[in-house]
Amino acid sequence: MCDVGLADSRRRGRYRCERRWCTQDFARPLQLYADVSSPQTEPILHRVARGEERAVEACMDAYGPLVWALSRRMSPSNEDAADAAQEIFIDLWTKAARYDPAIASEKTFVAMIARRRLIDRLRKRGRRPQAQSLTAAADVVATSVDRVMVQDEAGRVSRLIDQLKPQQKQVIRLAVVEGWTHTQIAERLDIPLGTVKTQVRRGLQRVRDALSAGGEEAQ
Amino acid sequence: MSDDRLFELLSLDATHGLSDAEERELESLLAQNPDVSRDDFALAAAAFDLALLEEPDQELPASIRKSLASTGGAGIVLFGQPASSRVSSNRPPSRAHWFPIGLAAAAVALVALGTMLWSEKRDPMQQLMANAPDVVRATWTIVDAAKLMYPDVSGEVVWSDARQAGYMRFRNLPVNDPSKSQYQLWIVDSKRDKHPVDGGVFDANADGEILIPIDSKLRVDAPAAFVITREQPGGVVVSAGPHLLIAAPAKG
Repeated sequence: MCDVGLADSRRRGRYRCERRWCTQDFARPLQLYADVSSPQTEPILHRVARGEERAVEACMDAYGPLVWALSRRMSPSNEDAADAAQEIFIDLWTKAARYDPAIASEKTFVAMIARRRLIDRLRKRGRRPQAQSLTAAADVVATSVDRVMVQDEAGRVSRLIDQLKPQQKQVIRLAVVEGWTHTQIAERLDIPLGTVKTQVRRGLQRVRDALSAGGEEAQ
Repeated sequence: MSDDRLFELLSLDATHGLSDAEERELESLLAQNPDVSRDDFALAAAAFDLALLEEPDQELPASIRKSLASTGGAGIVLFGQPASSRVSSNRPPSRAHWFPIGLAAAAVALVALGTMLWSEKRDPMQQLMANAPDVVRATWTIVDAAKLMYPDVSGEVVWSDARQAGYMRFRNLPVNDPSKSQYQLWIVDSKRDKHPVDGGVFDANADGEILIPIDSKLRVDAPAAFVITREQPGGVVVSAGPHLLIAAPAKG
């Protein structure tokens, strides 16, 4: 059995593990967005925290594409993204022992560490990533949530996003993914600032509750 | 103060970061609500982001991987080992039997030098010093009152205003239990008010040498001193001290 965690991409009707050297493929999707550290295996970050040298490589194998994608999206240039990615991994390794599988998946923890570092960098530089047009942003929301999700944390969150009203979905996406300020969102969508704040807060509360529910199920 | 304000600050923290005043307010509210974690909303935002993120289609660039691999986990692995062990592990031991002793010694020296230069080239601190035009550097001084508890600590700090980035290296910093206390960096910025800037919390491990990236919560333009304290887990907004280590940089 592939020990990566069955993160698949579709190729000619088959689903393959994403790791370059892995030859496993499957007739059906097993876990889109699955965590690379299954409950049966020790989290990579805990192995890193223990000082296992191979775990550092494994961490980059597993989360390099994710960290790089977030870094590129939230950085003004590729050079800046490279600096950011390096800082994120160093952050990850120094905070690896803090990861608690009972609270969130390892992938979510990695994304949180990455986002914190990237937000800090943007704040210090006094810059925001270039805002997309609202139409483009709304399109991405519409297509992304159509993905098939099953039984894992991302699935729960995706189902929850599906249940949000379109405007709230758009507001949260602009705040969380696009990095728009609440004021920018209020102005561009022509809705009160207080409404934006409330929608972001309540949306994140609901996602937090969904994560908590998953943690309780896992225990 | 209502939970609404706490959650509003947490949602801001998770999406855009906080101002200095908001940081203080959030810390105060979290202290009054110990059942709420600062990570709650940040994890929620990350999960939301992941749910909408297109599947990443690019690997981490090889240059970054090489650089990171050489740090071996930012001091957790390679930086925690004595430099001599890194050098010897890269030298094939059997080669010494194939050459005259003098030639072997020269080869060993070359390998050692090459490995050292290779490691330094990829050390993030060295990279910053090599690439940033305005790096300041200072070595840690143990505050008199802390010399009993922290007798053998040494190391240095480097910072670049232009990059808004820096690193701290410590040797022999006593190991802390993160569930009970964490080290916290403060940056005294001569262009700011009297309050030092929170430079982030970090932990020391048993490896002997650690390299920590500076995690400044605000922009720093003229660092006059870097100060280390030991605080409650997660750090504090205003430190009551005592100061343990101080580094006052000079341009270099």
